[in-house]
Amino acid sequence: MSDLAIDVAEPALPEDQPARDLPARDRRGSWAPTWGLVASRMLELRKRRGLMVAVAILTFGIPVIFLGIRLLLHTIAPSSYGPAGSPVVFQGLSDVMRQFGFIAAATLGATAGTSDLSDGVFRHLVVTGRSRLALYLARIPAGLAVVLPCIAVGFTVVCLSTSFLGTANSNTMSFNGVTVPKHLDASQLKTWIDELSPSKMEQLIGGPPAASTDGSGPAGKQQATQLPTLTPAMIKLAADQQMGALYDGYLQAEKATVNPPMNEMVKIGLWIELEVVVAFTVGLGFGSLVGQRTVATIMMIVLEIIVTPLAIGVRIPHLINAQRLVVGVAMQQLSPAAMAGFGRGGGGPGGEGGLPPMPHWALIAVIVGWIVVWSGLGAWRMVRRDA
Amino acid sequence: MTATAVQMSRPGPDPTGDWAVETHGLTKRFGVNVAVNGVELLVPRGCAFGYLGPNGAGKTTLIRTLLGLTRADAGTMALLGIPVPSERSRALARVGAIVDEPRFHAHLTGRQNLRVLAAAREPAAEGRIAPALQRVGLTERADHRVKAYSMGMRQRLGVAACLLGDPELLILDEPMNGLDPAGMHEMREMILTLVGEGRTVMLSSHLLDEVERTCDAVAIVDRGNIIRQGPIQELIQGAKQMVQVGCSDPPTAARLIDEAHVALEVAVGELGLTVTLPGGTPKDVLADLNRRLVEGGIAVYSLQELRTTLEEWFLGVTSRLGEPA
Repeated sequence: MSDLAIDVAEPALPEDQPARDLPARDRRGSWAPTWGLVASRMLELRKRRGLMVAVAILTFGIPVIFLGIRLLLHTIAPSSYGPAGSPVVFQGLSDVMRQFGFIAAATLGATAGTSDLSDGVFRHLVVTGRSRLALYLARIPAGLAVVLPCIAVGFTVVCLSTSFLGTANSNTMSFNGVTVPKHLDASQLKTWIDELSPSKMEQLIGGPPAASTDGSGPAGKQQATQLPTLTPAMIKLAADQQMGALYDGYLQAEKATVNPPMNEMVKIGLWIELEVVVAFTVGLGFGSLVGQRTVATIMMIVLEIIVTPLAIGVRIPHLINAQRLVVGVAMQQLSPAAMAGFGRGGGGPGGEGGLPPMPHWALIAVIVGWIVVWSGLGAWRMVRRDA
Repeated sequence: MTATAVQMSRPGPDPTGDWAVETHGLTKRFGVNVAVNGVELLVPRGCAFGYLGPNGAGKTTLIRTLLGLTRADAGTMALLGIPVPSERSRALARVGAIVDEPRFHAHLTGRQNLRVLAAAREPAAEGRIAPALQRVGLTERADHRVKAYSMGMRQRLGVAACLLGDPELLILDEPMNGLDPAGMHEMREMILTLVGEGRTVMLSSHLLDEVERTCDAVAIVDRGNIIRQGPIQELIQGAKQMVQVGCSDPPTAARLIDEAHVALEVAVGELGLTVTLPGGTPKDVLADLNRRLVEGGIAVYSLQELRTTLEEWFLGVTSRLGEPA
């Protein structure tokens, strides 16, 4: 403090405030956070290097690295390694981004909810006279402004790689070893099959129907080899009997070979962002409630990787409605069709062995409820807490 | 501020009044422990006011209650004449405070920490960051991370944070903690300068010497109760007066003084007599004692009035005398 004695003799600070009243633009008693307050909370988060590196890796780092490696391998040995982007890679990376995005957002939320307390700055903020509710609410846009763009960048990379670094979309695909046109509906597929030669038709259906003829899809080739040669009439009959199962298989094969259309990609992106919003706001509220970042972060990870998969995959008698209250269940049932078969039991509402589908209003109510209830609890604790 | 402040009737909060801080019956309990017990505190505007008490006396709790960091269980309070907590935001708009040790986001620079705090104040606070840093001598280190700051630098950054609101009232909790002698001197100078600008500085401390050097008035707090409050000089004047007498025959001199029936106590020591008189004893009484000794055949070498320090007075009025610090 060598120069302090000199400095104190300098003129007083600007006297631009009226003596005892709040300045006209000062609304520090209001619950609404100001832009400056939001920006300062964002600054506080952005400058946490370790946290920002972790968020970057979990959101866009992993897809960029993964796609980079695939692109490199494909460039070096295209015959051995497929293109960097593909529908399957797209679905897989989207699910990875959803899961890691959840963890990154929850960690960021828990940090935002506890950093002022743990750093001892909360009391400094309170003695400014600023509304505690405004201090809490400012953290929501600040944190989302950090994590949402990270997810957007990562997902954009995935979409671009799928669209431009993958196999060009063709009008045909291989289905049970037969080249089949894409984008057929059920009747069109039946017409197309009817026009096939008997041998191609037999190859397509994978052989004659099983002896039990339960109509549950094409029989295996092993089964076909055990039976005598079929007449064209028998093959035609078998194809007709299995038409429903054939069309399901056709759709699955089409989905695996066709890039999702742009609107489906946008839906998936928005769905991942919604998951991140839920994770951040719940992490923030829970962190503010318990006041300890580590506890809040661990509990959020447990929710994501243990509780939610259990609630989705295991139907517990008498507790189905309780299972439906888990936000991950609602998010899974809200997943876009292009994400079917991936992630936590996947497949949109009512996956096999999982919970029966919920109506849309219930899905929305559960998701909004989680955001509102945890935000309310976090804000209430912050307002009531001794600083 | 007068010594009679505590005897005043209980006025309601008055924005135009003379009190920067005003509490009536303020009480804060933690379970069965009463940290602040019906405190009647009146801090006049435009002075340095010491809130003095031993560790655990309830100083920080009172400050936390005043600032709305914790809730009072009973009583009323006002800052700058504005009642709190009902009009807390308006009251705190012109208050700067350091509570406990000043702590900041260690991963941010000093300037960035001030930006975070300024954002919670009025828009004009942003423009006060640079002057505040300059004022506390941190301009050159303002862009270094706070985790590299010494305790003294953090204290100064805390004062800079207080100045962001151009405060009329500064409440500083143990501002000398962690400072070396030079730092304490500079902090004292800064407090006096702030008071010179017309601001009110209320500081809590257990350092009697620092409070005596810095403050115009004090409140003595012990176990949650305010024992006395008023200007330091008035409080000390109310204490017993001590007079050291150097003379040729101390035993005889002691007897002569005792016969005058003015002294509370006369003690014979190696250096002569130590005479204890009631507080506020007129100078004429000392002259009369001197005349009695001379007329009694005693050679008086010296007659020195001992100045009572705030520390001696403090130990005399608090219940902590003889207890370990």
